[in-house]
Amino acid sequence: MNFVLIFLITIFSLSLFFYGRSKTKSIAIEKNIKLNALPKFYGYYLVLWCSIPSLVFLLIWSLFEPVIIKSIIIETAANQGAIFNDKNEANLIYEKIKAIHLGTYFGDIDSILRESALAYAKFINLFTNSKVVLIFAIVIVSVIYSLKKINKNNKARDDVEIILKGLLFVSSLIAILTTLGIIFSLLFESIKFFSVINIFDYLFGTNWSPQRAFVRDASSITAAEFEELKDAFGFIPLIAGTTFIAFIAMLVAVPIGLFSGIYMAEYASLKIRRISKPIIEILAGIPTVVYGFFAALTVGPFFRQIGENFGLTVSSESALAAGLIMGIMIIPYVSSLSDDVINSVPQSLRDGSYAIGATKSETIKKVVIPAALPGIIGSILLAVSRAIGETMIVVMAAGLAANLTINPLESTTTITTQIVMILVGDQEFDSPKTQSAFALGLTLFIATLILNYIAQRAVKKYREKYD
Amino acid sequence: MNNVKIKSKNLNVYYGEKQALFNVNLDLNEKEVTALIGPSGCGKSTFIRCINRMNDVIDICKVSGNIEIDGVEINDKNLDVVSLRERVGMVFQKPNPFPKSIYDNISYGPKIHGKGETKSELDEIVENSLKKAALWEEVKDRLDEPGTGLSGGQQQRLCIARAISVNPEVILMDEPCSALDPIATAKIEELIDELKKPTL
Amino acid sequence: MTKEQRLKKRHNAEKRFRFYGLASIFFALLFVLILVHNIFSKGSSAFMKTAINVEVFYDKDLLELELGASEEEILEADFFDITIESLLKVYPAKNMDEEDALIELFTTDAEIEIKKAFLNNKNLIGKKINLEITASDDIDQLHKGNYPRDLPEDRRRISNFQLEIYDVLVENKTITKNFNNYFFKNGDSRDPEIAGIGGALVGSFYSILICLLLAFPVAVLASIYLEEFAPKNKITDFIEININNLAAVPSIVYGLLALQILLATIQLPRSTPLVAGITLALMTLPRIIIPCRASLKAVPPSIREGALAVGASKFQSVFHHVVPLALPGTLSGTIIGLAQALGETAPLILIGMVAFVVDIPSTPIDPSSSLPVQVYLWSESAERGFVEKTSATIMMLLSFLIVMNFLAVYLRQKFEKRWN
Ligand SMILES: Nc1ncnc2c1ncn2[C@@H]1O[C@H](COP(=O)(O)OP(=O)(O)O)[C@@H](O)[C@H]1O
Ligand SMILES: [Mg+2]
Repeated sequence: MNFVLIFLITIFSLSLFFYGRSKTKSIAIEKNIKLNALPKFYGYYLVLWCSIPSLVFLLIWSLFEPVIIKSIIIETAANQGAIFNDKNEANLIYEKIKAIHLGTYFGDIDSILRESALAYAKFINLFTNSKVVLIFAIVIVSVIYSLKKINKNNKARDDVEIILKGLLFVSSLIAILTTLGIIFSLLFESIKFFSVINIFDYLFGTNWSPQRAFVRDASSITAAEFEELKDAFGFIPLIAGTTFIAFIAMLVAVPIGLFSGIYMAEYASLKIRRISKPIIEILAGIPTVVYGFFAALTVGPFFRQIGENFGLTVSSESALAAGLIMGIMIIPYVSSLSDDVINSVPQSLRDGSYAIGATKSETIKKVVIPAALPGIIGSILLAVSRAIGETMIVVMAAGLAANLTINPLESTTTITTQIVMILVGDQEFDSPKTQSAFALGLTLFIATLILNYIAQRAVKKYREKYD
Repeated sequence: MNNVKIKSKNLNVYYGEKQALFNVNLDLNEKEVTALIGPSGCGKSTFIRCINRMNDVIDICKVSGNIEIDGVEINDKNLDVVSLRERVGMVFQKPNPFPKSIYDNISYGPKIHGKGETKSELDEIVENSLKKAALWEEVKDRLDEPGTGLSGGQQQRLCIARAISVNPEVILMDEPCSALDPIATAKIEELIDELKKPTL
Repeated sequence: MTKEQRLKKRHNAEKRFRFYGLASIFFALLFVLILVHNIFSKGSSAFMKTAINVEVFYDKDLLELELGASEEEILEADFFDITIESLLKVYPAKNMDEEDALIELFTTDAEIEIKKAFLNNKNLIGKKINLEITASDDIDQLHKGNYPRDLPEDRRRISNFQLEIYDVLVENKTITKNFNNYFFKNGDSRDPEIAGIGGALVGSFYSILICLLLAFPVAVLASIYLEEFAPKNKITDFIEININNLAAVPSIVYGLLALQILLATIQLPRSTPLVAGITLALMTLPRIIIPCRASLKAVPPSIREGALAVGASKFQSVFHHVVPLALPGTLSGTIIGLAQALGETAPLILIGMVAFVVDIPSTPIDPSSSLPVQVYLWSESAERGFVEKTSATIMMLLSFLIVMNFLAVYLRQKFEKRWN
């Protein structure tokens, strides 16, 4: 149905374009007046008026129709006497009703279901009809309005441009909408989570075992269950594991990235620079799942083998393997940014240092790096935020159990790993376990936001200094 | 008449394809202030940058011919530019203090050349250099403040003090006053005159 | 310390410092090489599959089919018996256990292969034909040399008897290696020998297509607005801050967004390329806007002024002159953004693309996997055969990324030429 509507609107718009163009031409000749814009702009004008309001309406309608129908149908089913204890069962019944309507349901059909399916068919019909009628009404009204306008020889070009500019503005608003969407979706579930789990139990608890939260419905929690849950969602082991792995990653990425950035900015000839820079940037272009595979299947077992040779027990999913590989992945973030930052240190400072007889490395260490420090710190912070948000490497190579450990040879877990583990496969909505993933997501989002904010300010301040 | 300190023979300098200096033969004397004048772009900077091999920093710049300081050829591949530049200091057209404290700006040279082993020796070098650059009175109470916070004239004197700090035999100055107002210029010209006197 | 010693020390420090820089770059290059070598050496064998030559007799009675049977009748017919008959002829088995061991040498899909051969040539009824039946994963790995045969029998998945058969087959040259068309054609499977990336390829294609269709126009329009029309005010600043922050938000957060908004609220179908495409588009949008704006900014103002001077409106100057000039840079930024989206895994896991999907999706609203998710799924499997399949999938993924990046670089270089 939607496709038919879109098709009709398109055809109609196109014919309006040609109509508008020739109409204005003939008006101009007939009345011998000068048009305020080229005829084609009158065509565009009609097209925009015909298509945009109706399409926007159609989009909004299609977004909300299923949700509304679903809630109506579940309610009618309940009125018919259907019994469901939670959302999942309600969903199941709704799916059954839909299947009956489509003729793809092969189970037993009782009277409740049959009645509801009839109601469903009725509503679908009603909604579709009203949709079609409303869209035609919108098209007609807007086309009449715009035809009137072009008969008055309005400044069609200006009007078209104003509408298009509005379209451009709306496109750029999508960034804000996405941010709002993220905040809304994280907060929505997090608030539910924190209404069951005390936020301090979450922030300062030292035990993370969400599998204990078998409670399905958070609203009907008993006191005993509550005690169980109280210390199942302690955030400390996760943040400890996350920072620990990020720390190992930075131990690898900062020196290697910084030294390669320095070498490329200060020593490398143009030719070496032109070859090595893209090769280092390959490291950032490799999908993280590939690193994860390499860490889990090659690096992890390799470390365990080495450990065995030295009589050490190394878990095959170790913080060391994950951190090391993550560090390598992050090298280009540090090296490219610090290369840029170092390049923008003015040459006059270097000249001043050379002129007193400093060697190149002395100049770099004592003059260039201190001058570039805010920018370098900014780039390192950005790299840290990459590290804590990185998911696949840790999911595949770091382990699942929330150990509080500082032994890099043991397995640890991270915030991102837990989000994936909780949400992979079937989820029970409305259980504190599922909600906890959103709380973790919120924590992660806030942490990376703060890091990015500081980093971007540092880099910006630095840029302003030398621009 | 003083002895010849710097002697250039058939000096040619090229920036890539473009030749900037043509056969320069020039003798410069010890304990004198020698000024090069000429229209902009005639090669003044290029010439004086040859004397402490600052042109090495520019990739496309090629130098041929000879420059001798005290009879020693400095365009020699094996000559250590680091110790050459310790003997031949330079002040640039635009003041370029390091983004560090005034104290660190001056102590930088002595430190890298191992000239002030102890804190008190460094203090002394800093004080003497600033005094010679006629800046001591103005900054002695704020040695910890960044050198970039000084006025243009003060910054340039700071750069002169920085050049003096390692006791160079020659100081090259490339239009050191072009970015300064007349009063600051007068102060620096006075200072240049002072500097040609032998140190006690 | 004398002056000479001091100088020497300083020059040594200089050399050391330079060495660290060089060593760092070298390390990065070395790692790229090791990684690529590791993946290629593990994965290249997946492009071949092992097959065993079997003589199949399409026995009329066992099949209960007549000459000229319709397609439907054949599909209904039971090929199990003739499959077993044919497979058992490969080697004399003495008892039931040995027969089972013999049949285990072949893929579980042997019956389907025999049926397919018949469907291709319905005249085969009552006739004999030699078919190359795909070998089981264990034999496949053994034949490719990936399986250590010197382990003690109880730690091996292949019994001594099976090894004995294998050796005879090798001697008779009835075991062969062919191009592995299953790897490209088939969907996922629990059996490595018939598992393929067909479904993942189609899923990735749809996802990236949707991502492109959504993200590219919006990103270009938004960049044009911000670069050319946006007034300097709070709203514009706020939009810019948002774009910069969104570009740095971890990808998994977009997965949570999709889960809550697209799946739970709007109720789009789970595990589908449609949802994946929308999620990736939201994620890619800021990453495309940033290079798009840079390439618009790079167009010299003189071009705009020239257009305005002949009486074009601001709009015309932008759309007729600036945008076409910025287009190659814009496209190059978009391709890089899409390449990142193609390798993205975490958000797709959250929207359920880890579901086990055998069928190849025919529309974007069929459940499906994607290349990186397939890598993740297979890397979790224990079977040896999946290691090579995973590596081969990575090889495919990397080759797409390389092609996309080369395209982007080519476009950008063409673009740069215009200004010099
Ligand atoms: N880094 C450089 N690259 C290319 N050409 C240069 C460079 N520096 C100076 N030149 C050229 O060398 C000539 C001499 O310049 P310069 O020594 O700076 O002149 P002055 O200091 O007398 O004004 C000029 O024509 C200038 O264009
Ligand atoms: Mg000059």
